[in-house]
Amino acid sequence: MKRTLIIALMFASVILYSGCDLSAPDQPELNATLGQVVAQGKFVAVGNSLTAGFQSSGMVETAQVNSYPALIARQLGKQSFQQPLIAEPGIGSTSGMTPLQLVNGDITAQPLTVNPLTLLKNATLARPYDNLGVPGATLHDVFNATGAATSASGSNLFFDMILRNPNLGNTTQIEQAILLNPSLMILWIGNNDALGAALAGGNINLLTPTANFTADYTSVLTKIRTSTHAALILANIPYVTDIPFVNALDGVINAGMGVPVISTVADVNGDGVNEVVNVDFNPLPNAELYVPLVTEETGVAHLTIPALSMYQAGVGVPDSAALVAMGFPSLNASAMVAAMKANGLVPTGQPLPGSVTITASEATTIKTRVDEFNGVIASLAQTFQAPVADMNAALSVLNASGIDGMSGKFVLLDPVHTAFSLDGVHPNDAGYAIVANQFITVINGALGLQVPQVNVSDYAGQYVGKPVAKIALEAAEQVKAIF
Amino acid sequence: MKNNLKRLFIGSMLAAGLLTYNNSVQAGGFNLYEFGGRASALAGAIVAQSADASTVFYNPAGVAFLDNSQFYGGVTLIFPTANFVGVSPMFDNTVHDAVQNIFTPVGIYYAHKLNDKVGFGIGLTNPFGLGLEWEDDFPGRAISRNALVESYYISPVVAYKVTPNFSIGVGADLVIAKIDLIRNINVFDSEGSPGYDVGEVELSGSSDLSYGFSFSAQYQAEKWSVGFMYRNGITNEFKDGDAAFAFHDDLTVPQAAAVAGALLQDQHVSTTLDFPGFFSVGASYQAMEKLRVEMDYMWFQWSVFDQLQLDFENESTPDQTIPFDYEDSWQLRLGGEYALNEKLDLRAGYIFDKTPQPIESVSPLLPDDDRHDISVGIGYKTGRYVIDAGYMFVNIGERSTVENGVGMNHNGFNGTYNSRADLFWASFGVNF
Repeated sequence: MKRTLIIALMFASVILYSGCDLSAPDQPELNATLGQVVAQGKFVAVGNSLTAGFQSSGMVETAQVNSYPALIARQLGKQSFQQPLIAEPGIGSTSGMTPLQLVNGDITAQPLTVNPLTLLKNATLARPYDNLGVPGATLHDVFNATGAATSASGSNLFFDMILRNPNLGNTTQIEQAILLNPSLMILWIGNNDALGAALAGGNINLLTPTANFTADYTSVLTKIRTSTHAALILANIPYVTDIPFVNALDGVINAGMGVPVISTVADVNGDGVNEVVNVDFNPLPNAELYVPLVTEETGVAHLTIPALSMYQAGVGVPDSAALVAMGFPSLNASAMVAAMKANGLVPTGQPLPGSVTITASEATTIKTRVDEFNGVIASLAQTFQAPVADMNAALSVLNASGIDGMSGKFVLLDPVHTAFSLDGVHPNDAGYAIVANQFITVINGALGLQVPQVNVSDYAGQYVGKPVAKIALEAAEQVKAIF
Repeated sequence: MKNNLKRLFIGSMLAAGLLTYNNSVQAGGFNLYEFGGRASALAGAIVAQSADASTVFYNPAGVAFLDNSQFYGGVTLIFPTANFVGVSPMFDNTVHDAVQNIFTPVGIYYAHKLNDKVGFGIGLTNPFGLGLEWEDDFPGRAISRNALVESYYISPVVAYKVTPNFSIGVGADLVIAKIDLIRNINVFDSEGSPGYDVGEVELSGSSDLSYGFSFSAQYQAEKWSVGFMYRNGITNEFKDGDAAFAFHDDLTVPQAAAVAGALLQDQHVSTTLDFPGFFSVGASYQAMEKLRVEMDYMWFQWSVFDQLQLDFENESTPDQTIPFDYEDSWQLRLGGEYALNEKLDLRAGYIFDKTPQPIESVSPLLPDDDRHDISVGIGYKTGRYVIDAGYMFVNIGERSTVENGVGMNHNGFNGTYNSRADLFWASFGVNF
């Protein structure tokens, strides 16, 4: 009996042991917040030239190392943030040219004597780049273009160079970002859906329809949200009329250039021809010289940078006949022409074409469209829970009062403090540092982090000691080739 | 009870006969020691005893002390269980259970007593092995989804009584190992990112035949006995393993499989897998008329298991090194047997098993920890026949790769594992 009991007890204990389920372990915790974990994970940036670190109408390693994604990666402590680095002299946006350079005070581009594809330094990186900014990319491009042929322009070689298809499986920018399995992703896109219209002198046909923008932006965010767990940071679109390329000539042309002041011109009597608004004529040296401007379009509000180069060649400068036609007495007209010539102008009477002037009405249309785009971004950001960096407001502040000692003025006007590169469209090193800080502020807010800001002054003074006198027409035109 | 045992016994012998056995995670690291029904119930504290032909494995010198020639064989059913919860805040509080598999290592022996001085024997055992399979959605699937390592030792031994109380034994080990590792493959992994899951790879193969040896000694006095056994380590060479890749067909980026497919094609893979050498030393004592106890100490040279280097045949497929960095470790085994009557023995035992695994290599491949094992068993003798059956509870318990809030795993895959195993066995012996 006793023995039976012992045996029974032994085997009862066996059954008890084998019968009990494995308990669920308590979940361990890292000494790190979710935000810190996200920041330690993969960081990827998708966008256009602004994300690529494009400066002075081109891509070159010396500028790319200070792209805003590279700066953010540096602040996050990333060891190997990979960009499609392009060796010097770099690739300009016009085929066969370098990025804009300063040569003896002139902003100019040089011929590129090598095959641009050979300049890509880390072409064999066996994975997508962490910086997936492609110059010229539109919103539609980021989830449709797999190469030059499928890009919006149909010939944007930067897509071939950066996406490296078919080696990466004919994938788009967004798909390559997904392949990297990011934990933090910046998407700044849509600028080129408005910018092209401004660069073309207010060609509003180049604006992406708001309905298309809404549909495409929704598609992109849906794809990101369903394919990654990434914390997503967006940015809105600055007014494209707030950039030096458009507004540099709004006020006064640099007196140091010896070029007369341009008055505001308008079609006062509504006859389709610009009238001279300010006919005060003062031929004395070092005094203001008001010269009427001859333009094709009426109601001109902005002259783009190429207009300056044209003007320096005489386009838009009235000759005697033009002045007489405007109503100047013949004698006065002759005196004005003489004064203009004495001041280095070349009176031709040829009007500035509409491709370099933006009328008030065009400017309003473009601005309204950007407002609509930004409304779409703000609304979808709510839906998809992605915070937005307000780059539109940042550019306004830069233009109004400056940021960290930098200004929004063109390099011809303020070479020491300008935050823009030689093309008047893209930021320079300091400008990208300001952009990086805008993103870092949003990242810190969204993830509860204290990622340090970039010290903008470390990147300031790019053109100090290199006085800028003028911009060559080809160089000014190059700005428009890719944006 | 008797009928149940008999059924279990019949089933186990069938399994052994068909050689459809696997073996699994048992003793610390991935060595197994349950190769005899009696010995297992005594928690493997057996090096100083030679009651049956399983002494061919536990201490070949003991073959010289066997009274008869004997066939002895059996199987152990291992039911390992494991689960995992990932570290916060990277993972939510989901508990991931391992797939329930059964592993069936065998110990089959024949020992022949030639004369009063010399005996020889041969045994088939599976002293090293592991098996752990996770569900398809397991978050660590890129590290391991299904790991299986098996070993087959065929060990002829010979024992010689130097004196009537003292024998020595030597043995040879003919060893073949098998590996089958399945894990998901990610492409484009980089700093801070595991990359993109495109499919899976199965690495499988059998090693070339390797040779090992053992030597051992046993001294048996009236009330006490001592024993010693050493078995050397084995380096298993896998020269023509197969790497088979398969890609998901429902990828978010459908073209990714094409890229991965171009890089990762079916091919041969070679590696080496080290099994450690070990020794066992112990003493047994007849404490009471009906009670015999034994205590053994074992030591394993686990430091040989530092890494698994996978060399893929194709240049375009990157080779891989999986670090293990095991440390030498030891076990303490205690066992006791109480003779209830002439026919029936009751047995129990305890093992403390120091894990050789550093925290950095605690992974889905094999989450290990110090173990406390408790065994019970029963032996029944009638005429020429012996039946031994038993059960062991292997308590591995919880082990976290997170130490003071810092994740220590070398893959950055951190969390807490809980694991245990339940072992049931039966062996059958016939004396001639």
